[in-house]
Amino acid sequence: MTDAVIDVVIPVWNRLDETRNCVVSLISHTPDARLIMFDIGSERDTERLLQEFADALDDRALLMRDDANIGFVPAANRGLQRSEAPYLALVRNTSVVNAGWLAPLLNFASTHPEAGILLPCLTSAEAECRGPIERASASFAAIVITRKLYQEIGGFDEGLDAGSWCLKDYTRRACAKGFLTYQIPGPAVTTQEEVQLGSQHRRQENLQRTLQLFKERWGDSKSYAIHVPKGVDLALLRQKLDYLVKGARHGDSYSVMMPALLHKEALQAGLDLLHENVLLVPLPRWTLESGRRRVFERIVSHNPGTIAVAGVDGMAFPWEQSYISFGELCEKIRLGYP
Amino acid sequence: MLKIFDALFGMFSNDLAIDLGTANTLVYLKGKGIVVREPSVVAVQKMQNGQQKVLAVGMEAKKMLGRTPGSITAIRPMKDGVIADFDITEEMLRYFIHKVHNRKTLVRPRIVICVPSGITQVEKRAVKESAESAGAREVYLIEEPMAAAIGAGLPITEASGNMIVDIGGGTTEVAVISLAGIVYSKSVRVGGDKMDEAIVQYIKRKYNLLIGDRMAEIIKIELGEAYPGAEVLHMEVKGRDLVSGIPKTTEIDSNEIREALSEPVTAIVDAVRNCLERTPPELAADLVDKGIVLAGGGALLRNLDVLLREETGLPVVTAEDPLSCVVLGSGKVLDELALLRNVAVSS
Repeated sequence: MTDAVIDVVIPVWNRLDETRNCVVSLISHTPDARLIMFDIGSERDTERLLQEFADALDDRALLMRDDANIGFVPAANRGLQRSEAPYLALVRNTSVVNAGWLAPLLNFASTHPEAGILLPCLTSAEAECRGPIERASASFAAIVITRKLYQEIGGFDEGLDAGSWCLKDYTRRACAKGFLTYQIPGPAVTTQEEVQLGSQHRRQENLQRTLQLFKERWGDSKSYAIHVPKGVDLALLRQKLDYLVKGARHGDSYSVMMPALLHKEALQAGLDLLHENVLLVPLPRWTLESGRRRVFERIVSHNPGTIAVAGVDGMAFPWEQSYISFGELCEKIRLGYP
Repeated sequence: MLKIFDALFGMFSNDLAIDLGTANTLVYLKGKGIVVREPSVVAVQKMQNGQQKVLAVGMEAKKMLGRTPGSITAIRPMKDGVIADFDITEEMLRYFIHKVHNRKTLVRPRIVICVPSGITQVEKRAVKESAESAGAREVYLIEEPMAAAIGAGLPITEASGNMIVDIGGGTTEVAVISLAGIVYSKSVRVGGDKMDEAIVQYIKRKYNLLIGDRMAEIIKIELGEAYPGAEVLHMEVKGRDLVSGIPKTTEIDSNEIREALSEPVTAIVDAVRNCLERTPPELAADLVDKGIVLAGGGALLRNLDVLLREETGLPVVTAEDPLSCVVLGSGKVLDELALLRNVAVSS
């Protein structure tokens, strides 16, 4: 048993320079960590580098090795199995962590027992990193898991795509056990885009198989566009959004269209940071009805099959004949995700 | 501006691609094809002042192998796939470049040279400098498995995995190529030469008969096999009896030669297996469909494809012209400068 607060698992297959940068950054900026470096059949120079790190770090490192390249996810799982600390992290060997990257995550986890998966901000992220915000997806570039969650659900599913769907599945499994996934703002982890290896055909085949498995396990994810009319105040909006977050945790996504003024108030109240799948969309104030309608049409074109929802029961959805009421949506969420 | 000059020079330049192999050197002239296919041998005479004078290169020098007087030595400057004698290699390169180019145009040629994937930066630098001093305008180095894969017509720029096994005279290069890069490669210093050596040792051990390297090579070509074939082949072998010291003839068969070759062949199979084990699973999956492509002279060893198929369970095919794959591949990239810059290694 070590006294490390966190065990950081780093699967390594070659990429000598990137691996060196990654491990050095972890040593420098993750003081109470033990590094579990898992070499999956790297060439001699990388192997030697890892051995040197392991020798120098002594108790702060565990070097594991497999002569065969078993793949990233199986290597991550085997590394996680060897962890003993209260927190577990998985970091790709192409990522570089920066000073103070871990403290906000661990602080948040200590005050939020429901947080099972904690994600740092990544430099590759398209959107500005704000939050804390609940997420339905994660990244293998850097991810922190609490031991409690790991004990409940174990490692990643090796039968999936070793990418985004595998991570989505993990967050869903966590959610099923009552653990949530949060992205916490803080110093960003520098990441590199991963090159997709393998033939297009094979990848497509793998993706189809993964989607099929995911669908069998978690059902279809749906997209909803909710129209919140004038007159709804912030308190009522918050109540409605709380329902939607429940659905969002199970993969559904919601675009909530509302008057610009209410949208502004909602942003000030931080309601846009509830869940990544609950998006607040302002309806332009100084425009004709057709301009507002275009907002809805844009949402539908981005997510074909989007279901229209009238935000207040008894009021019609303005731009679509077929729609459901908010009450019906709540019932669906309640029945679907008890 | 530089690009304009480059394009202008390109129009008048006789660009070359050279496969600097342990056993043979092949030269490809842009627009003409393979123009030189000669053994990598240099006959050198030692002068009284200690300096060396090159007497013959290539075919002519090979004829002198083992038949030279004391002052003349026939040297193979490449050993185990790498340069063993830099000066002699430079002389050999100079000879081949001049033989092909011969200053037919005023513009010095752009040269692509294939090097084994395992060579060091120092060795790369040495090859480059040798070619530059032999008259090259620009020198690009390509790793042999990459050139072999291009020569064998594999879709190297695609994301799918392609496995090439290039069995040369000195080394066997096993590589998995994807997106115009070598994802994993393994180079073992086993090739045709080691097979010849194994045959010499086997016959010496079993029949007390000493045979030369050339005889061993002939036996390998005539009888050599990696896996039992449908019929057993026989051949008469001439050599010197080690006990009596007089010439002797004995008959050997292909079963014996298969036994003699088992060690180098096993080393090649192990290298392939090792490479397969270390290949990322995403690419290994592609190899199940596409299989392994054999190139290089060693690919002509009878039933090597059958053995590899048996050992790995993957489809194995031999390239159309395995002996020329490397030089044809490097010749192809002469026509596609963008690809050349993509696949060339830095030195």
